[in-house]
Amino acid sequence: MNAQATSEGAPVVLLDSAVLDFLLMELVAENTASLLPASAAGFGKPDAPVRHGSVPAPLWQRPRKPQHLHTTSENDQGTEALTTETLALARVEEAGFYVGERLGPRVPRVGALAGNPVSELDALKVLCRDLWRTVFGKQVDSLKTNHRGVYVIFDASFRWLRHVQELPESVGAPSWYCVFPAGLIRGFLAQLGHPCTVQGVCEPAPPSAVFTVRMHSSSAPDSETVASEPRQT
Amino acid sequence: MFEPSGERASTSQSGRSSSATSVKTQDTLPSAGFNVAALAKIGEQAFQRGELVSAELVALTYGALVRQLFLDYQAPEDVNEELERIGYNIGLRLVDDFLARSAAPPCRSFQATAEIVARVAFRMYLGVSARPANFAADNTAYSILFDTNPLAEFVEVPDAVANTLWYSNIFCGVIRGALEMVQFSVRASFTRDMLRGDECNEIRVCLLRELEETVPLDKET
Repeated sequence: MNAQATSEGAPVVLLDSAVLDFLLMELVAENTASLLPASAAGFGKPDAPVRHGSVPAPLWQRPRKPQHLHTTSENDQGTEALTTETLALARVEEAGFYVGERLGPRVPRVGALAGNPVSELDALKVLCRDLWRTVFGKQVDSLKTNHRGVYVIFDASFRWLRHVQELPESVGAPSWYCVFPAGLIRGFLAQLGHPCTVQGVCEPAPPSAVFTVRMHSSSAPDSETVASEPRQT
Repeated sequence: MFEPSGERASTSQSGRSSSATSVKTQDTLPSAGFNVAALAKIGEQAFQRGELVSAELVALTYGALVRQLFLDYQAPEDVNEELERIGYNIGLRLVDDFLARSAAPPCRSFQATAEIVARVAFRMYLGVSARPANFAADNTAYSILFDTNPLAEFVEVPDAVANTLWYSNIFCGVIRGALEMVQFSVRASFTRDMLRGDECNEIRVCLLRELEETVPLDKET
């Protein structure tokens, strides 16, 4: 496999992390723009003209609303608001899945596993050690499991939450920024043959994050309830 | 829509090392009083100082973003426009990070921005060497050339949109946003892209007008 050769043979190509930080912020902003109150229109909002000092925004740059934004309304409450939030974040999660699935084989030591069946626990170990180091520059702080297909990953200083420590209400909840990595984890595990659902939340305070992985088909014999639990409860 | 092929990575990385010095054939190249080698060094140092992430991860994340825009907007022209807008939003904020971390000399003229953007900013953020070229006679436009585009790794643009989509159009927005924050209103656009088979990537930056120093309105609230 050529991809393997480049990821392990050649020196790993690196970029400044600010590039990724900004891309992720925009990815979240792009999808959650409709969730924020209009008064909180910030830089990332497609439906608000960007306010800046002295230059009027030229016509050719004014953004158009994508289709999915037309269907969402901002002042609905209760279930409606909840579904739009879930919908918007599901797109971020999907983007994460897309990345995780493709990044998987390129992670050092994972390429070697390709083709062989990987046990659930091994997959999780690789995830916590190698993927985490590749993506977040460190290992996870703890991995817990109930041996029935539920794994809880805890990272006390999650890299992508460093900059959302003092997050004003107007730019959304810190947990929004855990959705992309949750998708990434799901994609990574799916690519190793372990379909699952992953929920990422920012707990208890911003720089730390908790990811709960629920396996769809647990190898444990008595996995009665966890298997069919819906995502995003 | 943008399936990673994995095959391109090795080939396009070859131009990564310091190609800036070898391709300085333009005689008209005014370096705006800067020492080119020193600028490259500033960029390299800033790059080394910064925290680094895998380029593959960034390329894939960007791919996911472009893919989503395609699902939303369908038309490649609209995707170009959106990428540019997103880049603009990034550029507005990135410039703070740049000025804080790069220790680059200030951009006192439009020409100077060419040197700073190409030699310091590209180096610092993308780890690639870019070079300014093709200055317009009246100094209201220049091009930024670069041979390696980390965002375009693994990318195969479908034939149907190959001639309309500028895959890395986000760069144009970033440049526009960043320069606007240092008082140059510009329009940036891709004119050549290696994804289209050109021999290098070229971003044309045209000065629209210089802005006056004004007390900025508060932007974030």
